[in-house]
Amino acid sequence: MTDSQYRELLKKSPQTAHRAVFNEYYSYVYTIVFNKLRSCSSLEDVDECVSDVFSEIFLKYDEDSAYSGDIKGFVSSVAVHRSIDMFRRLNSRNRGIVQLDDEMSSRLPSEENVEDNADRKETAHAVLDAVKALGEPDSTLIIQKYYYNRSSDDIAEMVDMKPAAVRKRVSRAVKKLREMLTAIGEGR
Amino acid sequence: MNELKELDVLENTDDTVKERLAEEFPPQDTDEKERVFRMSERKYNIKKNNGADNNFVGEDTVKGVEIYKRPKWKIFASIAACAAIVAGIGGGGYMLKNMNNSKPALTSSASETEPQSTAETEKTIAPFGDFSELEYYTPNSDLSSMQEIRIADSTSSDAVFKLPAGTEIDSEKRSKLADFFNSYTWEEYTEPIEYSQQDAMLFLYNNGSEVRLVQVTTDNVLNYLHFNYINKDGQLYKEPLDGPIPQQKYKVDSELFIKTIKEILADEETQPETEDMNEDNAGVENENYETIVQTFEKYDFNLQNITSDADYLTKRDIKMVIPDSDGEQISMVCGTALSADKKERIDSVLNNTEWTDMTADDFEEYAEKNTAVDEYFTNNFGFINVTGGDIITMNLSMNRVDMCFYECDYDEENDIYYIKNQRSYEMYTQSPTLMKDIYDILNSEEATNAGDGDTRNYIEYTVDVPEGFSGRYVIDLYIKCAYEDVVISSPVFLVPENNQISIKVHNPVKPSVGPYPVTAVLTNLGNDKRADIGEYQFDFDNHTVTADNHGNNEVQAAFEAVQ
Repeated sequence: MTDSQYRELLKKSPQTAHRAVFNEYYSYVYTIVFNKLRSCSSLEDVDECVSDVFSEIFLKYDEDSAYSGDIKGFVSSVAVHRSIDMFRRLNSRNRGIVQLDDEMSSRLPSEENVEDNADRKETAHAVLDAVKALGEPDSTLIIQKYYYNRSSDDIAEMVDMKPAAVRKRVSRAVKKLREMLTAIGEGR
Repeated sequence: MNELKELDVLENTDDTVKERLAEEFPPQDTDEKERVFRMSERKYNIKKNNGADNNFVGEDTVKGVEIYKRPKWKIFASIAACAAIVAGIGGGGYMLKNMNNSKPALTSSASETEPQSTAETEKTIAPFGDFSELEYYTPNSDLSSMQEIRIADSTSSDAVFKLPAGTEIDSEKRSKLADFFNSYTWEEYTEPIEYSQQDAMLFLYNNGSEVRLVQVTTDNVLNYLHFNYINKDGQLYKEPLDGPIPQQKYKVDSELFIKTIKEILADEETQPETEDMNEDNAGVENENYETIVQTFEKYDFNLQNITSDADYLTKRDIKMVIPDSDGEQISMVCGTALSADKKERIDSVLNNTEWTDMTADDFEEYAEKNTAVDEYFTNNFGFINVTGGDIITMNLSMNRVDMCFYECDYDEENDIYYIKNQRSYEMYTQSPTLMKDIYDILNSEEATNAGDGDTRNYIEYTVDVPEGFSGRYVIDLYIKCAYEDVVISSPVFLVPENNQISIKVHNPVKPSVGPYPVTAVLTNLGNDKRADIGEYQFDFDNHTVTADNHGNNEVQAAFEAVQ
């Protein structure tokens, strides 16, 4: 969506414009936010942050007409900044004041990025390729379960399967994925 | 653990990876998406109006309070976090001072050193007061009725104490709880505590100007918070706003406390249920039971499948369009006709099973437990009746039966059912034999009338189990279809108890477009080893299986390979 398209919609109806930009960029924003907060936040925190991002986007485009061109860059920028803010806030809360969950905080990422970014990127793509190669619905089940941390019941609703069938397929898909990752040298 | 650490590499990652995730694996929870949109709109309105949400109602905006389905312990997490944040904002020194100065009102440890006569004449009271005198309640997970009290002079959303509504505890039970609390030997606890949200017991008191919170952690600590609040222009503020929430901690025996409290509360909950709610619950249960059983008796049903994964296998048979969904479709199998004999036997099992009422949480716990020990438990048996434009489905899995009635408009030309209305009924049992009974009935011999009664093509794939092996196995059939690969799994089978395994495979597409290549894979569930049994061509038009390599030797080799 371009800036001018959005402004056209805004003139007609702000709600329609908001809905349009939300529908177009929700997955993108959610992914950016979730990617940053996955280790240290609850799903509610992620929702909170995503809604902060969109409310800011709605507000900025409502009042400030300085932006032009494709909205995506702006959306990305707001999403990155808001997720970093939330990440810092959650970290200071978790570390400095109260330990909400040992397991969760033990998975907080190191503040220093000691890994080689290029290798990491390559590995991430290889993992995604392997997940993709599982085929549907297994790839969706794996990502929803282990990346987005959804329960089997929630996933069952998403993919129109029984929770038991989801559990069973997931456990088989995990084994298959591990075999594939081991074969390409990315497994444990 | 449900961990798959290999996916951790996807987080905090490169933009190209994020782009792929957004494109290929987007979040799929539509309820969550809708909720986030409404939150975004509300925040936008508040910011735009400098802090006041003027009940903005847009065409896509719902007026009112969002309802979050959040686990109960999460509510406590908010409260615990808020309390901790106040400590942070107000300064830890004050909190510590406050805690050190706090003294139990009257402790039973004190009474131990006092003469017996004093203990008899003076009622011992728990340090947080007499529990029976205040109307404490247990919080529920309905956040729509949650009150927000600002507890610090900060605009941060974290400086808000979220106070859930809940279920009142009747005076008799509060009195019992008070007796228990008052008789305990209280001792202050001054170490920093780490909160354990799960299984913690939480009591709240709110009289419109004062809040009290009594929380028993699983770490042998009882936490007591209390503060006053006022209403200014519709916004609630802690009074005074500065400073932390007063908090005291006491050593307790968590196991004893939680057990005792649960017993007292359970006592509270069961009594009214059997008395007051009995009629309502019985009505609901009866309605579910009677509707399901009578419908099953009344109509003929087709058996959708007899395998646990196969609710996924042949979805192309009946297409149903979900209302208000821009044409989104669901598909259902319309499998082989259930014989009158088997139907009658299943009906008898349903009639003779004791059906109970279970909450979703109870069921989840029960299902997880049984999944681990009962190989029949996760089987899924689907039944379907299609009469005119209406469709009835009944699914039976993990001791749960759900029956759904779809009232549809049938588009004959395109063979599509448009759902107009739907209603569903469900019932549970804890019968240890139900799933096996149904499995046995459906797998039992019957007078074969496949040619007459079957409404669909199917192929029966059979494997003779070789001698000399034992354990739990499953066979997966990977069917390469034109549009996607379909996996059909056998039920879990025990060896040597079963000497022949048969899987009925219904035509996965309609119409069929020629023979499908199929690979059969044997899995030993004892060690998760897998081995190919053979490769085949399934021809649904002619009901034939052509084996590229299938014989006793191949089956024997597969069993040997997975030992």
